[in-house]
Amino acid sequence: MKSTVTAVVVSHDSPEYLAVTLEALANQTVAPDEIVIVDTSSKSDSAEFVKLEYSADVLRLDPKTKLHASIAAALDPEDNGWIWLLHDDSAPEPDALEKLLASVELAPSVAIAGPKQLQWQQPRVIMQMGLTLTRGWTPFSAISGELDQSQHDDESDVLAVGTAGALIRADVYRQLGGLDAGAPPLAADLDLSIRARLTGHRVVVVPEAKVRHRGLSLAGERPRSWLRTSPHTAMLRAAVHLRLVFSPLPIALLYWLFLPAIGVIRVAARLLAKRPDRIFGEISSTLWGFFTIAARLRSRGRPGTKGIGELKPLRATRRQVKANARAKFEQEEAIANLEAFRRGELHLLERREQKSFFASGGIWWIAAIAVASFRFLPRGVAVVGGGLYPLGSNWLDLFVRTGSSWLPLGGGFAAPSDPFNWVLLTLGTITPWQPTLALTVFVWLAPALAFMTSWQFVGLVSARPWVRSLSALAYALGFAVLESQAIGQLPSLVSAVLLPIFGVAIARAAGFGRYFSSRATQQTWSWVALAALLFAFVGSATPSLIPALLLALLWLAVIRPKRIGHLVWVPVPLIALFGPFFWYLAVGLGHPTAALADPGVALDSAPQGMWALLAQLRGVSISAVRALDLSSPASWLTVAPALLVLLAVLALLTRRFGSAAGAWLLAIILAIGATLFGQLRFIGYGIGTSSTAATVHGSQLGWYAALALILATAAAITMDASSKRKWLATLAGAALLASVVPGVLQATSPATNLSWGDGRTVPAILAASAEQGNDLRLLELTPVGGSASSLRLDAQVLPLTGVHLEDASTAYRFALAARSNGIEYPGLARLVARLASGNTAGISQALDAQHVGYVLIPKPTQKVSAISSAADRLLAASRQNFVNSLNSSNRLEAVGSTEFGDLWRVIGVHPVAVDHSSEKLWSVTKGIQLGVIGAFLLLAIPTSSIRRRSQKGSAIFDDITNQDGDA
Amino acid sequence: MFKRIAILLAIGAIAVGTPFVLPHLNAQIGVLPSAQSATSPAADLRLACPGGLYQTGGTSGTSLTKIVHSGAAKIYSVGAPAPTGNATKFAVVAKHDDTGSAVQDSNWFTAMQLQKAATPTLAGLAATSCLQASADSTLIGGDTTTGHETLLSLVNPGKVDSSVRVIAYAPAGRLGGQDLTDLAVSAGTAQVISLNGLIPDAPTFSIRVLADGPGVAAFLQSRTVRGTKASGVDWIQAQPQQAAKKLLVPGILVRGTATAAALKKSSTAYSDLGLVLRVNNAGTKPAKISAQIFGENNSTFGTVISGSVAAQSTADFAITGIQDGNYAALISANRAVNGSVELVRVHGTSAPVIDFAWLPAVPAVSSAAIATPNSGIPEISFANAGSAAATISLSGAGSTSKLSVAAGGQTTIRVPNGSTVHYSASSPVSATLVIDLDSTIAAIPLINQGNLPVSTSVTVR
Repeated sequence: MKSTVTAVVVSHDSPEYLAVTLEALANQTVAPDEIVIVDTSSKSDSAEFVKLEYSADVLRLDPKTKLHASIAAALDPEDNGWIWLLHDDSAPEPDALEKLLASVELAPSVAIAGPKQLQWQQPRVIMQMGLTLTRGWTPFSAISGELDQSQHDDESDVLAVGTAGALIRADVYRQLGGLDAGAPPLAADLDLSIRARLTGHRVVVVPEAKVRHRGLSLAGERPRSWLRTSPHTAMLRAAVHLRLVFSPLPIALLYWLFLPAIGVIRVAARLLAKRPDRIFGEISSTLWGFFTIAARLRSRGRPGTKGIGELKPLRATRRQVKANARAKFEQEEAIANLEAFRRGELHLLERREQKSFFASGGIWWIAAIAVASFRFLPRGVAVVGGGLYPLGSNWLDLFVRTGSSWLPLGGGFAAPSDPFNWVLLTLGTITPWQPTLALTVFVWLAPALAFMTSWQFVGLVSARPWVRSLSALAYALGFAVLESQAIGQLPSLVSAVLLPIFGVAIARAAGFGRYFSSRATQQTWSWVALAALLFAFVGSATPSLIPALLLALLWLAVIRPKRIGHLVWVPVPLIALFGPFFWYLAVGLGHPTAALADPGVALDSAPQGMWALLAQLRGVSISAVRALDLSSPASWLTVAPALLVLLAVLALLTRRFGSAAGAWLLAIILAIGATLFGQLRFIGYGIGTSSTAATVHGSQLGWYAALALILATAAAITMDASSKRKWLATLAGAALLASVVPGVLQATSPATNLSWGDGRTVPAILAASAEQGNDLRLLELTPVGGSASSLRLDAQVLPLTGVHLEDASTAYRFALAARSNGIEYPGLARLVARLASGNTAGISQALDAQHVGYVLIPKPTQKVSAISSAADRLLAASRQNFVNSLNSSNRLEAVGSTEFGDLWRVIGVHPVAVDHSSEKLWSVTKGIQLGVIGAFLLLAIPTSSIRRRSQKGSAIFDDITNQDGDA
Repeated sequence: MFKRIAILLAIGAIAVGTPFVLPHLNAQIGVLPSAQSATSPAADLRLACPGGLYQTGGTSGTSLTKIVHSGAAKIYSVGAPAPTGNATKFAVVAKHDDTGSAVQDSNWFTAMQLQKAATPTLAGLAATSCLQASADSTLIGGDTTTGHETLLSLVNPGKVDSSVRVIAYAPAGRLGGQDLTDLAVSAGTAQVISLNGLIPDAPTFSIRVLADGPGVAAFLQSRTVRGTKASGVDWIQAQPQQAAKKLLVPGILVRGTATAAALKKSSTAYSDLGLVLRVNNAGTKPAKISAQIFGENNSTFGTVISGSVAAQSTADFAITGIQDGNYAALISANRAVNGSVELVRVHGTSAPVIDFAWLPAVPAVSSAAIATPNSGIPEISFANAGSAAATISLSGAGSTSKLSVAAGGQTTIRVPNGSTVHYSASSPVSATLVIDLDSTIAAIPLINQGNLPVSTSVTVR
């Protein structure tokens, strides 16, 4: 007996595809007994069109009606024949129904038979031949994107088939309760097939029956209300649903319990796979699964949800999944190449081989520069002096201070720590057992590292190793790097090392440079993430450069509008690190421009004019140059760096004058920025300030570094152009080498303010006391002036472990003015006054209240014998008077003269309990910042997964790639 | 190429022109924290006096290691009652209120001690100011050659033990290996050390005393013996001022120059009878000095001495060609130095009475006070190194007088015995009280030891 067939066509706002589908339906060699068109379109066009053209029954339903309800509405409850489900975008071949019926007639156990789905525009390409699940429960099609050569026509039994063109036994459909109303749209067909399987029926694919399928839902071309989310997220939700419904209950519950953690891991995996666009879907599906557990549990009550283990042979293998991923990558690469070809960016396709840094002998240059910097060779664990203080004694101390919202300075107060602490933490992580060691080694190797990074940067304009090496040498031994190193200006030193590699990363992210590839999206994301992290670090080290770098980023976005989608992510880590800090300064203190202040220990330096900056002649004005006696070799040495500028100018006469002009305009902008910034004066007070200056000028060294990098790159253009004529190349090279001579002399000069020690910033007795858990504080008092009857002092209240570099806080410096009017500081001033007068009456309570266990008067900045001015003599006398006063106090016991100054111990101090509850390891701010940095780090790490995808395979759902952790 | 040159010129023009239109910001970002000012009452002022003169060899004079007090000193004070009776041992003068508590914030509080010695080993008038303890004291004077003896007396008037280091500067420089380190001076005690053993046979030196812990009051006792006869004694007190490029030594009241010259001619034993300027340079670079000895009028014209003092050394400069009269010395140097003048007084030729006094450089102050002794001839010598004449109002024993000291001049005035004398000057002047008692001599600088409240300005970093 011939079974009846009811064709159910579900239509939703796609009349143009519906017409084709109905046309194909009308042309079937075996016509369905009944055609029911269920229209849930939001517009009435589809239904009217069908009525007029095909005279078919049209069931008009509410546009919000879901698929399961639409089908249920179309079915006759008494029908025991077959249901042929068709989507409005699935047009069957004329013999499709005939082949399907033929197949099910021969196999009575088949309850669901699906056709071979072909691509709508390319009917010779297979879109889908049955569905299965990966080990991660993700819907997966093993056969997809392949040319249909009947190579898979022997396939039959599958785990599931899609509903588009599926022939389903009506009684089984009713027995199973139809499509699960609680299942997300993309899980419904799998859910139905699996349950059919688990209730003893077969699900097969019939290769002879072919249906062209547009796949509007997966392509995201249906209204969003259809899937209720993006196709990718809908696919992830489907995976979550299927796992929660078909897994054994204990496992399902365990999975649900760990779903948030699993979501985090999956997000990390997405980042590692350079697919940040998939993150939202992961988070969304995780939250959806976690908060809709009740609906999933209800679905478990439907027939055929037990015993999924029996279907294991029908599930996808790991090999199949890998092959699918590989095929997808190749497909993406092909498309990218095609688009690059269309844009005319042929250089992107011609990846020229160039020698790597090490193959070019870079290691020898590094060794030579390291040897030349021998005076900075670590002679102790910690380097101190100038702006350098040791880091905390262990990594955890450093971590506590990083990204924290509470500063233990003075009496402690709520304010964000400097973003620069993240740079320090990163440095300290290299040697976590002794963080300051990494800093010490960094200071030594900074010129060598700057050479390496600038070598990479110059590679953007020249592939010739000698050009790159000489230009990088000019940068690494230029004033910015060496001066930062000599005076211990760590932030600008960090900036000088990182700026070049930031330039490379941002150029590659923007698709600039001659010899790089942007064929793979993954690579671009790696560069974007690296650029973002470096932007955050450079910005944290030299905040004054942030406006200039943002302008550069904006300029890149303008000239590379197609890269905006990538470039817009570059400032994100910086915003995460700087956001709370800037908010505090701008809103909390009303000093938004304070965010431009150099972090770390405040150091003052004389500002330079624009001409001096452009000419790379620090400290030499135009009039001074004019007055130079050029018959003296020393004078030539003074002006030698200007040779670099001369070479940079000559770049304007080369064929690449356009690039050179751009570089020069950038250089002028940088010089203007540096000049203006050098004129600003910032508050110099603060913990650990190396000088007693009330204000310090903005440091131009970071700007200087950026400027020197641009000029060195312009000089590289000149040398690159001169390389065709040997004598010209020799001349240019010699000129650049000559410009480096002063730098070499300075690098090898033994004079430096830095010294090396064991990392202590306080006398050993205090460090030992702190190690024993002593919770007292050190009162450090520095006489800064006075007369016979008055004394001016700077006071600091410090922990017994002393000041470390991570303690330096810009927020604290600018908050001091407000805090000095508070309750605590006047009390401290009264205590200091009593100590200064030698009058011990009433100091006991004050010492206890301030928690002071020790008093230190730092060593004078100059020896008594070297004092020449009257003011200095008075200061020395004031200091001595102060020492005498402390000596005469019976509450203080002189410990003696230490390497840090004169020290006294407070006798019989009765410390009050200190509340350390505010000093937490974690804070919300830190969590967010760490999350952002971690995310970008994962994104930046190059992965080899692509190389491992060696198996040939095919993919059907773009979204399936890598979404289950085993891919 | 034209295009390239045009771009080069354009960029050059921008680079050259931009600085002319750049604004000069010179802006300060942020607000400077205001310093917290606090005024604290000064600590108790305690002045330490060395007490009676020391005699080496013990009471018998034969015990080499014993140094004992000989006689007692009379203490005169202003602003606080002096100890009753004479002080045999070191004494501390402190100001107390009616309840016996120490009074803080003392101005016009000074003390001095005076002792006339006339034993076979000690003869002469010895006086010194009683001093506040100090962590760094420089004492200029003394001699350890044959016939001379110098003792170092250290008094710790505080409540905490002190550790002292002694440095000697001689003409050849800092005496190597001669530092006395970690010399403990317990709280409320005095220590005396013979410098004859420490720096033997040294005619010229100065001593620096550095104290760790609370300060000490440091004094040198210098005495001379000619043959078997004592021939002068004096206390040399710590310099009242820091080393400076200009120093003023008032109170050089020269008498008996003819007698001294005759004695010098008669025997080499009297070769040291003369004025000597001793200068100490504790710095690390040599100092060139010039000393102008200026008198009161045209008949006491004075003289000028010049020379150099090596780094970390002490040098003596003989002051010759001076007639009897009243003088002051103005020492100018290109480096900060410190100095004193040794004044020798000789009376009689057959049995000459010889005594000496070391006059320290005295800081110029606008006012000071001193208690004069009950006996002898007390005179105050004022010197003015300023550029304008100073008018001085001098009061004592119920009367007030005014006198004028010309710029670059000096004036000496007799003051009443047994009274408190204080002066106030229109501009700062230096002053020394010189006491002549039976042709023996002693000198006390007028210094203001008041401890006013300390005003402290604290900036919390």
